[in-house]
Amino acid sequence: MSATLIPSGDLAHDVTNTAAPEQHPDLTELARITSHLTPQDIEELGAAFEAIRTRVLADRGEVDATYIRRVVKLQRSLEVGGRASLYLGFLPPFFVAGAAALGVAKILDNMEIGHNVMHGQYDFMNDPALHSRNFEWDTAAPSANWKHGHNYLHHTWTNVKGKDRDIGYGVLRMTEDQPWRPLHLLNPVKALLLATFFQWGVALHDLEVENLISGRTKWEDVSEFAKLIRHKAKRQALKDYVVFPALGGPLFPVILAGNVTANLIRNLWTFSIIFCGHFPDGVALFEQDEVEGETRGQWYLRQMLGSANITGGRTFHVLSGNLSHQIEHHLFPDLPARRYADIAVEVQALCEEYELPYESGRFSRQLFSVAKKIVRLGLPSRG
Amino acid sequence: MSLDLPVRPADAARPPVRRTAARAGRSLLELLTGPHGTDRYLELLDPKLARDRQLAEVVAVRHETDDVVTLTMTPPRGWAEGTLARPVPGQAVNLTVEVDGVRHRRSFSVASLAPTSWTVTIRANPTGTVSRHLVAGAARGLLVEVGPPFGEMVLPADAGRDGGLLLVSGGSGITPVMAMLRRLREHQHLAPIGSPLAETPAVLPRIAFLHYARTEQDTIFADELTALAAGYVNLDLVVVHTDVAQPDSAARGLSGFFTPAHAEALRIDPSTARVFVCGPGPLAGAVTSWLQDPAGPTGGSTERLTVEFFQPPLIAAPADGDSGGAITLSTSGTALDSDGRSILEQAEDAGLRPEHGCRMGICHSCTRHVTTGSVRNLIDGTVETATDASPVEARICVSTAHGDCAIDL
Repeated sequence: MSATLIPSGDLAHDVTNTAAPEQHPDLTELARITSHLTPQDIEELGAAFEAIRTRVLADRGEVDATYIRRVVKLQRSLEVGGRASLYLGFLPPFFVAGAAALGVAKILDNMEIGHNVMHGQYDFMNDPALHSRNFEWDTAAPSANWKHGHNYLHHTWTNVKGKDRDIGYGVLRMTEDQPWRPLHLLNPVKALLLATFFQWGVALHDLEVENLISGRTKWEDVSEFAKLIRHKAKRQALKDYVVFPALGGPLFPVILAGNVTANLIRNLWTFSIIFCGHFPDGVALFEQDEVEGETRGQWYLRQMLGSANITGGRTFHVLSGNLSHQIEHHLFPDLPARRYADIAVEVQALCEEYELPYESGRFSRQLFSVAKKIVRLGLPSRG
Repeated sequence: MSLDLPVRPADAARPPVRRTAARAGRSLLELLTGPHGTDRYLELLDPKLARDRQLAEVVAVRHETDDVVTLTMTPPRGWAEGTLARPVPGQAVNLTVEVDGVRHRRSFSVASLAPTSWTVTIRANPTGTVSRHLVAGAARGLLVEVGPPFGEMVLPADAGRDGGLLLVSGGSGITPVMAMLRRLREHQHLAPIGSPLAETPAVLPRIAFLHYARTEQDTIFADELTALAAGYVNLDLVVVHTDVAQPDSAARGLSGFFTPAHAEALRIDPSTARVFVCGPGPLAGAVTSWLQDPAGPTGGSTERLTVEFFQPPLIAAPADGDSGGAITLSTSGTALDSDGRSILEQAEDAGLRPEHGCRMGICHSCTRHVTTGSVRNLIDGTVETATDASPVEARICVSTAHGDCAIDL
């Protein structure tokens, strides 16, 4: 299925960031969106989400196992085929096909396989090769560091200002609450650099560099992380940029270019999908004090309001690792992602019932919305 | 860039230069196939090519009774390569079998071992996921993963020439005993009637086998047992049908469950024999009590007795909603009394720092193995129970003890 646009989501898009803050300056974004709900409503909604989760958990089985193994097989075939094709890369069609296949293989590895496996979505299979404890992905960031930063910090503190380090990845100004500084004029440039070198950005992101600079964490605290990053990054770079090209002899520069292109394709794609998940207009940000001691129902509500979906076809969903169903992913991060499309129908129905926004839009629209925000927030706040 | 790969037995025989070259080659391959590793690519061509999995392929399926199946399999590669210990008759292995997308590990006794094939014989446990799946659906070509062998049921080196062998089994507990008998037959410790071997009774071990089955229809290997009973001079074999009131002459008039009189009806001296028992708890208990009796044949000594249970330990789970119990944290050696809160919280109160993340059951950072007992999920109330053969995983931040349990923490 593909997610449809719900009018309330569109309305929120228009209202949230402009008129509303002035009308209710004392209300938080969360309080404004949910002002029509009683605490009991919120817990009922939470129970409805919990019921979906329980049902799908019990239903997991062979179809999910077969699916993820098929994706793995496709990924490995594209990878081997792409790399082989690059050795004929002196012929332009082979170069293009090889770089594209390798790029898509890396996208599948990182998104539909890596991200989802490391969330524990396939732990139920008891297959060590597809278990969150063991899986390592084809990117510079070591899985151990990423699982801490992503599964714990980002998924627990989704869109909470000052807590969710994925807001701008510590280098971009992504909300009005971050005080503007002249360096933020470089917001668009920094965003492009981050997108281009995203695999390295993600790897360094887990070091929490900004906390090191501010002295909140000490170098000793992260030296184990740093060691893992050095080891993994070295092997990744050696593989893609030295050994595979060297095996081509005189074709070294061609194969190197193919690997660089493949990694670039993956970097730009993953950056785009991830930034469209939480930063389009209409997605809520939260205050730290309003999430303290939150109930299970409130937690579900925040996960839903802090995420945005991207509409598209089946291939698009697979290539996005089903993060195009970011809302469902944040509600149910450990359910097999191939289930999100079906779950989305139920989540949308609940949103309508409880008159809540369900932020969803075409990839181009969401990407434009994010780009606009990056540019706008690079400038000092108006008024 | 170097990789710490273990030296393979095959490498040890090679000259050092070639050994170094082979290791360098493997390191390079691992780098190029990183981070997944060579095996993850090879297995897509053929699962048996992966070196990190010991796979056996089912080549024949034979239905022994209505609910018992014998699977004949190829040996896993490690048995020949020396990277996986080969079981001896009487031992068991863990088999990992995929059922509905989920890999399960269960213990099965090896029923026979030949150079190019081996068998397990499985009875469908009415509540067993794996045994029912295999009895109903195992087919040629099925791949199962084989673990290292274990078990104390091992034939003595003299095959029982010193004092004799008394083998007792019940139900599907016959499989390790059958493996032992088949090995004794292959190695000519059993003398066929009329054979030259039978002419030299003094050098043969005296062997008795007492087996219990509900009825004749329930008897696994019935035909083979009949042939064994009639065919060998130094084997005394009796099958007792526990559910048959009027035993025939083949059962030598014996019926019901084990009593000392059953053992005395066999041509064996229980005061000197090595005794092996495999079967349900009550059978193992009855034989043990007999030998523990100071007035019994061994004067109360169980030194020559080996017992193997083949039933999962039963755990009495408290009524729904009830929690509590003793929590054993096996790695840290900590004992806790559950107060109904999450195991993570209680472990932290006890001064431990278990790895964890979200504390709400999402991130799986805190997942641990429950090795015995049950835990209850605090979110949805489901209860998961570990057995010896298969520990369960629990996210300790959202799990509480459900009766006594042990966790690898």
